[in-house]
Amino acid sequence: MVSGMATLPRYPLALLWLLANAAYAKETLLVADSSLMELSLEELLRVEVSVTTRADERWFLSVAASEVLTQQDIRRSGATRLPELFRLIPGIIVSQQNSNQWVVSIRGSHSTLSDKLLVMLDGRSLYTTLHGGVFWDSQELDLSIIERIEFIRGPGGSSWGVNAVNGVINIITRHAKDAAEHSLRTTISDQGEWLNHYRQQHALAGGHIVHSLSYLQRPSFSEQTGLDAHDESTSWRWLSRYDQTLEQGQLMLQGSYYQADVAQRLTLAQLDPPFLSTVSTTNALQGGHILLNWQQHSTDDQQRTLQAFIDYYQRDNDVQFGERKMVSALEYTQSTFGNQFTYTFGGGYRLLHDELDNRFAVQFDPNSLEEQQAHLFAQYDHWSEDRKWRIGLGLKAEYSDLADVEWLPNFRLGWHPSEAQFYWLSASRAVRMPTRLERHGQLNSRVQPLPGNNRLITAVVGDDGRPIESLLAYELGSRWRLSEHSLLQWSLFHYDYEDMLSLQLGTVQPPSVEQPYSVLPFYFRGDLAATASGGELSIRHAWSERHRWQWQISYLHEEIRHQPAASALNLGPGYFSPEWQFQWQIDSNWNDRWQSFAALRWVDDLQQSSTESYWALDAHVFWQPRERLRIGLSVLNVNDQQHTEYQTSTRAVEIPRQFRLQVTWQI
Amino acid sequence: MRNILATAGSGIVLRLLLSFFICSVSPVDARDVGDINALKVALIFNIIKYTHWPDSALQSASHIHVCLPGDDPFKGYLSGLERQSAHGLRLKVVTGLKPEALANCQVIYIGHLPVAQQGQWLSRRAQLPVLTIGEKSQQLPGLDVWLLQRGAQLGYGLDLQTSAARGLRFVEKLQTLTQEKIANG
Repeated sequence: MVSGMATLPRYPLALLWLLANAAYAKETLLVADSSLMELSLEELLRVEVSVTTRADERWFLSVAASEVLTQQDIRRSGATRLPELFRLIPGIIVSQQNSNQWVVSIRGSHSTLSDKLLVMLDGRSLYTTLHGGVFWDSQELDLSIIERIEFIRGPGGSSWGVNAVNGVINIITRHAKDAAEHSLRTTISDQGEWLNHYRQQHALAGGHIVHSLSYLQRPSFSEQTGLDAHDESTSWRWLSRYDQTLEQGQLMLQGSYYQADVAQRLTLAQLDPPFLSTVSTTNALQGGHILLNWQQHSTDDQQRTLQAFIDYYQRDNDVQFGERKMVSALEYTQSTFGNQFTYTFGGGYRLLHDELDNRFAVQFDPNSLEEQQAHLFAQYDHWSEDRKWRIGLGLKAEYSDLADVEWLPNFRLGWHPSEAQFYWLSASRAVRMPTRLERHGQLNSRVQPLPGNNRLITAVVGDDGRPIESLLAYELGSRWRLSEHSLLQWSLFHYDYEDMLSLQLGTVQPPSVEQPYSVLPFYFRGDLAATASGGELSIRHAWSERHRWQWQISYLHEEIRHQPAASALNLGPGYFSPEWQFQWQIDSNWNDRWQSFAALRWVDDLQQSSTESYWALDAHVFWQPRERLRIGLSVLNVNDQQHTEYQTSTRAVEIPRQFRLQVTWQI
Repeated sequence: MRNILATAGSGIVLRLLLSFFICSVSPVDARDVGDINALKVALIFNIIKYTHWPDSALQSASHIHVCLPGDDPFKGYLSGLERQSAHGLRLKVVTGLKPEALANCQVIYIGHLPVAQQGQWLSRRAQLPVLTIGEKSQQLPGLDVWLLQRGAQLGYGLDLQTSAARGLRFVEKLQTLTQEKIANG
């Protein structure tokens, strides 16, 4: 691989662009956003000012490399699913594997085992402890129900708990009252996409309730070989949310149910000739949740939140594995806000229960497990009297049946020398719990015939005693207001991982009563140490008050620091992460009826994989002929007929150019 | 890594970028969103809407004057008020307020001033029916309304006693939704 650094300066188009636009930047007068002026007093008091907007003061002074996508950003992005939105954020690595599968990570460890990113939806974790990571094919949300998405690059252990190792994505849905009475949105594409979302809102028992129903069909793509990838999907989802404003607080109830059939082509080992075959199968997905959230704002500058939920999902296909899982949780948080400090503490309890169906390809022992988790945390943030210094301390103690108690501390220091500058420094520890697969799984990946009707099965075998992966992370960053209309953010990080996942070759095990064939095991181990370093830089500029652009670049270098000779394979960092990523976005509100948004991105080749670097330009134009009607035309991958974003050893699916037409009608 | 230029396709990216660039230099009028200042200004507007002045304070007024000593601390967002109306009058923003002009104001915001200067303006206001708004972080006795940040949200407090003594009255809704209230008498 040729270094990305060596190539970029030879083609500094983005830099020229930046300078050219800056020359045309105009002194413009900011006016109060008319939509805010139109809000009722109740609505205004609900608007969050923490990290809701990109130029927000609290965001500017936050001691972490954080970003926010607001509902406005989501609307103008033209995205139809979550990972398409994540692409817009610097430092987030997003690869579309096929029509319905995605690989998403923050600051590295990018692979189908992207297990260091915690994703939350209204306080529920979408992270699956089966393999680590998120099953994105079961998260087909109607994006218009999202209020905002917060991205925290860097560990979030002291706030978010285990598995928030490299970063956190926190998705927050909208208050029921914010929905139109009726809303219908249909999207079609030349590739055969057909996406339908209907929402209905009405007043109920002193509050508001919104129902959202989605029916989605996604097409099948093609593999590099020209074969049909058989990765089409069909899904439907119902979601309801009830909100009531109480005398001194808020009550929210939420429920959902979904079903999906997601096709997939798999290359699997089998006991009979030809011992390895590629099959088309369908994952039958089903799930739902019930959630209660109660917030109280007392007059003594305190806020209390109590949340309880039950989450259920099942996933089944007839050749790989089946899983049914239920998570029940109860959490309490209390914050006290003073003039110079914020103090937050809380705790929670979670009960997880799963049942797994073994197939030859993937097996678990035990195939049913119940696990309890509990946590306590406290955080303290203090500003100096002159508001120039900010110090933050956080500590979370997380208990699980698996690991007794893990301590997750965090230290943050902020310096605000002038109105236009803010610097932060942080150090934290985070851990990732071994997944169910790493502890109790067996992946039979290859079968070879042996004399006497015996077989030699090459298998990856779990290790229940494997240590917990930990990270010590250090970060330095800053935000600079370059002018009234320009903002720059940069961050540098260094991560030290210990006890990372590796594979260790074992000795051949002869047939036994439990296992009728010989097995050549590769054990999951945790004896790898590694580092990751890098940084992100982004510049936002409004060159007029209707036109803005953002330019961003990120760099990542991952290195194995210690690898025992016995470890045959590294499953850790550097495996599939791109070193460099670059993106340029332009957002224009031409007038009240026309808007456009374009994002040009370049992603470096994925290391140790055959996936090559690529450019992609996505362009969107929106026309609003009437107040309640909005029509959008999107072209994804304008510059390229098709490209591969993530290639595995057995499969490379081409992501094609797509033309999408989206019509939204509201009453 | 392949050559970036080669992967960009046969010039289509460059043409598109160029067209965006050409379009970008045309001046258009303004809007921006997303600053806590915008939210504060919107909240001040709502507070004005739900405040009643004594008849004498508005009878001869051509506008509701929202006055600030010194520069606008809301980074320009305050000018958005000038397109709004309340109580049948347009709002007008006056920055750089001189002490002698205070009597012409219906609203004064002093939350951006050092505490000592805030005290001076409160003395000058004395019994004038001028709605006086400050910040919770530097809350002084004599303010009618103070803005406060509670976690992720913005709120406000009311001093019914101070305001009532000068003939100012807050609509019930404003009193119900307040986070802090100093009750009347």
